Amino acid sequence: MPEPTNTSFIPKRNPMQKENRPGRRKVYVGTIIVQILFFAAVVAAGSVYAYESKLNSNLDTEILGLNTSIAKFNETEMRRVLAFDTRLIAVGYRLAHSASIVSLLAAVEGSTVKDVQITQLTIERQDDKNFTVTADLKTPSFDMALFQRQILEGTDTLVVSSISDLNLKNTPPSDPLFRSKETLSDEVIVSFKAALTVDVEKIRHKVSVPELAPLDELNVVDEQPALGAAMEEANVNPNAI
Amino acid sequence: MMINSFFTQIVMTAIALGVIFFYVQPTFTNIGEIQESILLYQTERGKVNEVNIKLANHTRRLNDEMSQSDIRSLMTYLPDTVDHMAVSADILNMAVEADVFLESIRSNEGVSSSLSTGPSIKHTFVLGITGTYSNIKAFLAKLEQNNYPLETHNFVLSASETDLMKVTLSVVTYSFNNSIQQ
Repeated sequence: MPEPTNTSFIPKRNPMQKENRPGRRKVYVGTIIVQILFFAAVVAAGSVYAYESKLNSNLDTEILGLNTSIAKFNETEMRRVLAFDTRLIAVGYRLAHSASIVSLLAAVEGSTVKDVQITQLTIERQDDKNFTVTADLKTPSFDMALFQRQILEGTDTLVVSSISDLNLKNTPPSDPLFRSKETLSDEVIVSFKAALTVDVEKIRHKVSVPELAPLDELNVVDEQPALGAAMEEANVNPNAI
Repeated sequence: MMINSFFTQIVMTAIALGVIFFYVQPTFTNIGEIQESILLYQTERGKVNEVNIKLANHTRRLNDEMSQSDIRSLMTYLPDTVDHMAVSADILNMAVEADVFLESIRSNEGVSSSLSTGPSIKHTFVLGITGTYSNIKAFLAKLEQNNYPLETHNFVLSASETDLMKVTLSVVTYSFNNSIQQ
């Protein structure tokens, strides 16, 4: 019998021979890094652009808001309020430093001994805190002058700065008594000058103001204004006394 | 593939680095500045709004809560201008009421005294009066009870043999120095 001929052109596979499969695709770490870097840069650029645009928009909004707020600011009203405030402060200052000359005179009266005569009284307001009082005093005896000085130094309101210009006069030569051998009169004239300082705090103006009806309720148009009312009427105009 | 080629990777890296260094990084810096600007504008806007609110409150109080008579009294106490003739007339009225003889009255021009008394201008009136001691005191009391200040700054009283005494005094009143606000 003839042997079967191998006529197939398909090569027989050798089972021991490995199959030649196509090679695996090679993945490089560097390539991945580069790609990540590239896409991250692109994404970052886009994000940053978007965020910057948003911030610019916000900034424009804030600038617009600030401009609107500034436009709302009323400078005229501000000046009016400031002027009013300054005026109030000025008035408060004047009221806080107000003093009563009548109280000062009362204090001088209260600390003057009965037989002492004030020939001249000078009161000067040096500043808003102190008064300077200079009194020319005349007493009929030296003891009285000493007593007067003691009284002045003991008062609370008046502070003695100095006592000067002491002048003593007994019986003058022109007097007939001076040439006679008789005993001269004990009467002398002692004059001196007392300089005093008074703190404004101690002579505050104390006046009880009576309850007055509001100006609007007063119907004084048809009536003849009283003497004092002339002063008030003159002062109704706020811009002029 | 083309993307895997060495040259492409170099180009991609260069582009990425270029984008980062020449766009992203400067933009980040710029973003920081913009944020600071926004914060600054917000702060300033807040301040302006606060001032506006305060101003509105003060204006409302001034317009609505303060009575006109109080404002009028304030304006009378410290007016913008002082009419020297009107003040002289008031002083004369007081002298008549107190029964003292007003010998002379002389007024000085206003002197600004912003340092010592705030924004006010001082107006001085020098008076010469004659009267009894009690009447002079009554006159001084009337000066003190006026609806605008008439402060006695200098006072010289001279006694005489009779009951009548001579007094020379300077009386000071004030006006508001509005130019300080301008």
